[in-house]
Amino acid sequence: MRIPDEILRSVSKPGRYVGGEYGQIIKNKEDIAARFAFCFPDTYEIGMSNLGIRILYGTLNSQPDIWCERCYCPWTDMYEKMCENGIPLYAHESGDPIKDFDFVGFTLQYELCYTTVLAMLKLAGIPLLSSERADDCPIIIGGGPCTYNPEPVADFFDLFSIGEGEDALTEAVRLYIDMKKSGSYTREKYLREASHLKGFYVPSLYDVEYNGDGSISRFEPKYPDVPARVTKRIMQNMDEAFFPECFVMPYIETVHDRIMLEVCRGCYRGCRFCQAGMTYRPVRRRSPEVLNEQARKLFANTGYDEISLTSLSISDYPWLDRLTDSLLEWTDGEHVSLSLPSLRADSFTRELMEKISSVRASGITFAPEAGTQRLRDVINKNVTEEEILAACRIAFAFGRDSVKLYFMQGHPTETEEDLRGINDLAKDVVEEYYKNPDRKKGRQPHVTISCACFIPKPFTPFQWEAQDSLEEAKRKQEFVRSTITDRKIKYNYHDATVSRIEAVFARGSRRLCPALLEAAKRGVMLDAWEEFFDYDGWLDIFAAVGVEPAFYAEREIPEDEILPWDVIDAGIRKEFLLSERHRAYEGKITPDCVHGCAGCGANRLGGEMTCCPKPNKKK
Amino acid sequence: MLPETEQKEMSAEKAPAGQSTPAVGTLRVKFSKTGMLRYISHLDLLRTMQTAMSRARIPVWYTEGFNPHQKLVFALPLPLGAESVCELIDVKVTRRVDPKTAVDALNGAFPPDLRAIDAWYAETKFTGIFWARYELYPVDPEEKPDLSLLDKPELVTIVRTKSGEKEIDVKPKIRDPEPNGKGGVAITLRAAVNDILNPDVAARLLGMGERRTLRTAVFREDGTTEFR
Repeated sequence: MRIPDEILRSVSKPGRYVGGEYGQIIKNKEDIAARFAFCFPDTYEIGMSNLGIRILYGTLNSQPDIWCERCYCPWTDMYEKMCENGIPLYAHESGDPIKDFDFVGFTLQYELCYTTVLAMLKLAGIPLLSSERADDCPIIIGGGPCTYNPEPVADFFDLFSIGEGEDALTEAVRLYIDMKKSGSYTREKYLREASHLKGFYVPSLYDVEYNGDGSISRFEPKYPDVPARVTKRIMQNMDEAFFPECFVMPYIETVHDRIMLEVCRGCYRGCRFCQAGMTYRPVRRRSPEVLNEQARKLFANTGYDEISLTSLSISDYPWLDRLTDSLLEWTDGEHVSLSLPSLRADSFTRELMEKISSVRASGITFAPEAGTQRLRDVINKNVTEEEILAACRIAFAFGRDSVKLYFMQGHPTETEEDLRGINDLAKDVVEEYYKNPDRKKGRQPHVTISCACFIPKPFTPFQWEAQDSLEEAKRKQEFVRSTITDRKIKYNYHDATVSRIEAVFARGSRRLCPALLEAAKRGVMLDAWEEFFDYDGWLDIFAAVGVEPAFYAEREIPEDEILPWDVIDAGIRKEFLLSERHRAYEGKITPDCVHGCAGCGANRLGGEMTCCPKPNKKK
Repeated sequence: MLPETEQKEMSAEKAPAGQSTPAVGTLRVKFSKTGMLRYISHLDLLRTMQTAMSRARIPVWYTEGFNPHQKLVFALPLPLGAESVCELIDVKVTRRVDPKTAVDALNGAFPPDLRAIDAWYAETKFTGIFWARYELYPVDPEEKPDLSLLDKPELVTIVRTKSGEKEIDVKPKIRDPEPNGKGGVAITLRAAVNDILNPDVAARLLGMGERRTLRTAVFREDGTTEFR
């Protein structure tokens, strides 16, 4: 398909729609048994930055008879032009409409992308509801972090891949190819068979019943052969797991336009609000040798001048020294810089700082998450004020003068004292700057406080907690602002209305599907963009379909209630989450996995190069 | 990518970290930018070139200072939507690689719609460019451009400049218009430093609607000798 010139000339950033990038994979259609459109439900710039897609794009395309292409949501100007001109959503590599593909996959990275998923299906000309799709429709498959509670989008997806998709996706496509070849394929038969694959959840094969208040009374498979719970998939050995040797090189600037190495998967700290910290367990690492080799290949094949070491908590990687040493052996000479996001204050050392400094300056960011030690203990953020100040001291000694501090407000048990502590900590950081005898004269520190709102997330010890009401959240934001008097401290905070809608969908059930359908009817899309997010619009949609948002966001869920996401087994046991919740209320910290196994249960999934003890019984 | 022997030579020559290798020459590459790449802006092309230089293992000289970067200089930015078969880019190198080898290496590292055509060591400056030749084709072949529209003694029209929109006579900035034999027009437009006439203005004067624009050559001051 060729997009007419007059359209491309009239839309903003046409470079996002033209494809043809270096590194894209083109295959001969005649050799292909199944075509997969990998959709990122956001713009090209955001989607092209995602490492997960790059991995899965490479994995699927490593199969000679499968062709995986990319697809993104057009910006509203282009979306309208495509609608007006009857141009259906197309895949980047071939330009072919995705409605003619065998699979259309969406990665669900954040709750606010749900409306964009529907907008993309609509533009593609694919029926929004799974129940309305005929045998010749592509299979719509979802994956990514949000699928730990896929229920709010259950009606729109045929299939969910739970957990890590490298091996799983290929298996699902392979099953499809086999059934097509043997002539036994029907959508119904395929989905039933797919539900038997490990890590696949077919929402239409379950019955859900509700109590009068909207809570779930019964959640069961419709047939005995369909599993009652779907256990997430993990890659056992990260050194052996697929990692791309080349990236598709975007022409236009994207959010993360650099080499990304995946140093480890998971985080062993166990912050009680953090979903990623729980759902990616067991922590698995790559060895420095494998990472260095991947970096060299990626540099040769992409020409990027920056390597980012990604991980949920990079400074916890036990072989960071060895890795950075081996990288710096060649990166300096090639004018390649290293960046280390996700640094933790308690493992931020002088040696590490020297390594970051040796190439290119990047900002220093720490995440104390709460203003007082008491609350940091409640959330199990095992970092002390002294550790944060010590880390800042090192950064200042190296001539940095700006520090960013991430906090979250609205944690369970939070008091005014805790909120006051946010500014107190920032002030201490400012003072720390002036304690440095070698500071440059005439300069001053800049401390930025960035506050997110607490969102209770599935598979965290805080999954039963209530989110603050909108009024309360706004009051707290105002309060924190009122405590800040020093002009060297800047205060940023997330829009509480956005966090509110995220909370509704994070813990939602299938009863939210009609709300999303209504949103799609009203043309809601790209909700994650400030300019399109409309809180009042959402309230209106909820009212129109009879959904009470507070029921999902603001309610403390009884511990014995059936949770919409109980159908998923994320590895960690519910008993562990409960015990962590209770310890939070007692103000008791739980040591990280390196200092002793707390028995979360994720080790029963296996995994190499973990810090987990081997499970007693092997299944 | 450059052949392995050349790569080895290069790394052996590499200066120790912290010291930069001096530039020994300026490699000038002539390339085409066609197809869908006409929608890639000048700035995005620069970024694409930077990674491509690195992929092709061209021994690019890096600027000194706090934030070392490649210094790539384009002769004449191409308007968004236009294609070209005569783009020039200068890149300072730390070692004199064979230009033919560099062309092959770049073509291995470029996306399909970007092609290196030729390369040589620059002996001129881009300030020596005064004119550029374009071909303008109507998308609808029925809409033939009317060359007689350019016959007036003065061609006063609105042009966009850095300081806003201005009404000026562009007649002296246009020369040698002729039918290109394919239903379009070939025309030479002023393309000197701080004095560039956008092909869209010429198309407007010719009464052209939807069109494709192709830059075919850049000329020295006489308006006919190709600039190298």
